[in-house]
Amino acid sequence: MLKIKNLNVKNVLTDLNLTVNRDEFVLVVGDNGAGKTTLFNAISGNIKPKNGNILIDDRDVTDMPPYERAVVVANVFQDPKIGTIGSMTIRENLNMAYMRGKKRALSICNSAERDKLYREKLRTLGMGLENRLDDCVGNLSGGQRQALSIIMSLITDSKILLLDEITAALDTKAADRIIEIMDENIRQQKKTCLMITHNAKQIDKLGDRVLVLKNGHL
Amino acid sequence: MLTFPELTAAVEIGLIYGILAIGIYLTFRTINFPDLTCDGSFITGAAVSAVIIKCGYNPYLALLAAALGGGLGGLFTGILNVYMKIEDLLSGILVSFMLYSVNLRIMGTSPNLTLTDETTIFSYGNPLLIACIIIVVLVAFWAYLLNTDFGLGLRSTGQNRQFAAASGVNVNSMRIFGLAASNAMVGICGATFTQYQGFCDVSQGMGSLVIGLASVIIGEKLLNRFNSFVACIAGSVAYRIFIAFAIHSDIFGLKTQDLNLVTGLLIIFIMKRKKTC
Repeated sequence: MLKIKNLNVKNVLTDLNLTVNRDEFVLVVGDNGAGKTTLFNAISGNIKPKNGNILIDDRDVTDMPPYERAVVVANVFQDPKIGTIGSMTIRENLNMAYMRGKKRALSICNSAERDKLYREKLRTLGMGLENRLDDCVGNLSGGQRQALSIIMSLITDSKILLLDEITAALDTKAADRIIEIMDENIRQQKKTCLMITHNAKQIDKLGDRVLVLKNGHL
Repeated sequence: MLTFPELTAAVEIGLIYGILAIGIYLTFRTINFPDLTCDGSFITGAAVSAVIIKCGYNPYLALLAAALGGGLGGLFTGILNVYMKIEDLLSGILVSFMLYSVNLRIMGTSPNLTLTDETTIFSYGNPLLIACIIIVVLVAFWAYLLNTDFGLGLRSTGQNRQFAAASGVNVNSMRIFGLAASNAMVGICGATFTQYQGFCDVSQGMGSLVIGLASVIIGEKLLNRFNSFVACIAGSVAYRIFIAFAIHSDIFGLKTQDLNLVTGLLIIFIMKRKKTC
């Protein structure tokens, strides 16, 4: 469960209170500059709030640095170029995601066991990526790259999933497919999820409730 | 005309400076940090090694101490950058500048030390073979490390910091580690070169950054499909052969004093031809 109490961030969010229950899928909407991305950055630890508290499963994570908070919070960014590393292979990107929240040891990261898991997850996309583990992510299309970043966000058992306009950089067909994959996986894995969107179709179809942010207030 | 002994010497020096190229690659390519500490840490490694050998210790122990000395320089650059928020370039310049005094202190205020009567790593056999063994060990070490989960985290900090942090990588610690490791390599290079030529001079590290960068760029151009570290070594050897050929072949009337000019022009030529992918 995510609980936000009296959160104030950089004069963008003021006295914001929010509770998102376990397994709940919440859509966040609002005009540009309303504070949607700032809210996500505060939850993931990229911005330190002026005051207020962020609690995940009753644990106060307000002062936790982003790399420690990554254990419980996973992100999918608007731009798939931010959510993946183009110069690394698909396997290496998945290895990065797989190790989220684990101690990065001095042992070789490739293993048959991991490959099996990656292939299994990638097969659900139906994009043939399971046979391209050694391909550079930079060679994938925007839709394939975003689909990969969704799989990466779901590969570990993080409690909160933050989706920041994940289809904004994609064409309609790719966007529909990405939403379908994402919704299916979130329901299956019972994740607590917040998603920023401007897409009316997505607002109608997805989520358990819709939060409207206006001038830093809900 | 370039003679066979001159060519052999160029290959030997190229292999030794390949260690420097690996260090430069680690900062400029792996963690994406334009580090200028190496002009100072090269001599720190050389000075520490020369002093330890002069005190009668094992020359291989001197290499390890040189790695530690150079690594401390890089560590300090990292701390200045990460915790004191001093800009990338300036933190490297400051540490390199300060290391000049530190190096003189290490050398006992004498600007040069000779090792001609001392036992060095090159006293144990053929210099080419010894340089090759050191290179193979270091390349194998780095090739292994960068393919571990830790190494992947290190690489990710240079490619995409936001993604690295979101993947649970402590970006600041990785940056400091990368700088320390890179300068440890530069220190080993300084120590190896000092033992190879039999003396250490406080000003011999000047331009090591440019030489290292030239090696990395030439290597990437020559062997872009191979392991990056192998490419660095190949680039360093090719650079030394090219310079030896240019200086010793009397083409265009070039002399030793034209070395920096030739190096600069070579880098410009390679960079102009370097394809972006």
